[in-house]
Amino acid sequence: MSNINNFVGKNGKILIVDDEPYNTRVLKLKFENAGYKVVTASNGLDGLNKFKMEYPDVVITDIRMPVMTGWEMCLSLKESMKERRFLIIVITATIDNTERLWVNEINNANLVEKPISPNYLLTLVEDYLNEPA
Amino acid sequence: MKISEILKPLSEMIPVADFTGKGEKSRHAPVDLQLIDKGKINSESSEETISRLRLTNRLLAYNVSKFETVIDNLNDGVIILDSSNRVLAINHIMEQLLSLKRDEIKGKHIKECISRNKIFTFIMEHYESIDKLVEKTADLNVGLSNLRVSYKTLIRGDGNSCGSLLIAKDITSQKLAEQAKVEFLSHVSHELKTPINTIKGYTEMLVKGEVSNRETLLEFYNTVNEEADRLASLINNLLNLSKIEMGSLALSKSMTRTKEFLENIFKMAASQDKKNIHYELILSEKIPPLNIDKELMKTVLINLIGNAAKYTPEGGRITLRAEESGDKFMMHVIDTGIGISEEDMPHVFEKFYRSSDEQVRKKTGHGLGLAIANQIVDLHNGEIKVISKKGDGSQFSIVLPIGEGYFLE
Repeated sequence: MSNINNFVGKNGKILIVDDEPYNTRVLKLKFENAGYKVVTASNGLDGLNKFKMEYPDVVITDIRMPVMTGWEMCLSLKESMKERRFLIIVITATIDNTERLWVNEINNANLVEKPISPNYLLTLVEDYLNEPA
Repeated sequence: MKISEILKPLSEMIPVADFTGKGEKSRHAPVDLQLIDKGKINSESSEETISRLRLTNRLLAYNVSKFETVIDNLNDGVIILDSSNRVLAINHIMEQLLSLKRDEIKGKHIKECISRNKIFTFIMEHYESIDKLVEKTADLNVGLSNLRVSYKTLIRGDGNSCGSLLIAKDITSQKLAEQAKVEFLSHVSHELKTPINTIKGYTEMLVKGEVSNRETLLEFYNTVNEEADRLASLINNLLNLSKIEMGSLALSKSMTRTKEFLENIFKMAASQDKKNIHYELILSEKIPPLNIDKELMKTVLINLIGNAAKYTPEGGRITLRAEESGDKFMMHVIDTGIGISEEDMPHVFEKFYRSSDEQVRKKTGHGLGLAIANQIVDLHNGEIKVISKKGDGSQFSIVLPIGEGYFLE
């Protein structure tokens, strides 16, 4: 696992927001293997609180969650977007009119349709973090 | 009696001449009957002519009332304009929709009628060009109703237009059904993609060799295995639910030896135990045979016992108790699990409803099991009741009618 060790010490914190424990489990493992620090939350409100405390570079969120949906959370994050740069990846079951409307509203959200490939998400994140700000 | 009074229905019928194609002259110049009374129009004065007119008039009045009865009995709102855009007829429903009274508007030009209703606005926008439009349709929201409004030119047998007709159909329930279908599909794709997503993520990690230690490997294999089962049960539940909802699920009832039926299900459920739960079966002395669809009723019990097992912690207890009570048969599934909050209680049988409670969300589920159980019991003319308190276990009771014959298969 030396290739994984190479990544250790990388700067980058990922916030994963999903109410499905399996999803957070697998993504946490994927990003930790790649050397990132991972924080998880189980709904939008929880995600919002973790965001304020942890200053993540990337937010990966599901949409349908109890208490607060992923989109509602993104809406609340809009103010923070003006203050600092971070990547939002929204994981969705379907891309339909509602999703398109929301993407217009949260204009820097990246929609990724299920079933997601953890590897693809890692590529998205790495591309973003390697981009000159 | 004044001639004008005798001829009043005739004057109302003048626009009808449009429809016969023989009234070209009178169409734009209705006879002012007052003039006949005043002797300014030379009318034939013989008794014979008057009685002929009376007969014609009675026939016309009869036809008018027949025509009005028909359109008043339609379920849709109807208003008919003649070729000069005067109101020829309006039915009860349209009177209500437009808040106009037929006695006040009949024979009047549409411009002279005043209504703020959207349907009226729709007519006003199109009546001048209706000959060219032939038909114009729109969906309008009027109050809480959705109306499909269709405004069309009336074409006579000889191809000429003779007025226009507007029909307003209430499509509220249709719209609600469409919306429900869209929501259902969105739920379904969401629910189907959840286990597929897990399977995809977990297998990708396995394939890429990112899971190294034995324990995690086993955990990953188990998860994939469980999610495949979840997907299969979800598909079954969805099929059953849509069959029930389309009314195409025919019960295949047979007289069933209830005791054996319950014992078998109980044994099967208990054998699935992974949490050291104590399973208990309590059957009263006298268990009547039941006329049920065995496969479907098994689904109900498996769903109930499965839920009980899901939400009952390690070392808990699940009891299946069955008893006869008057002309009813009761089957109770009782657990010592996490219980149902007051807030969730009214929604437990709603399809796709899942509690927002953390304790519930920790467990996988798609919110269909109880909805299906409820529908199946309903098809058996029975009902499911639930007694529960958060933190204090749940009791689901199936109440079935007995007495549909005691003949065993």
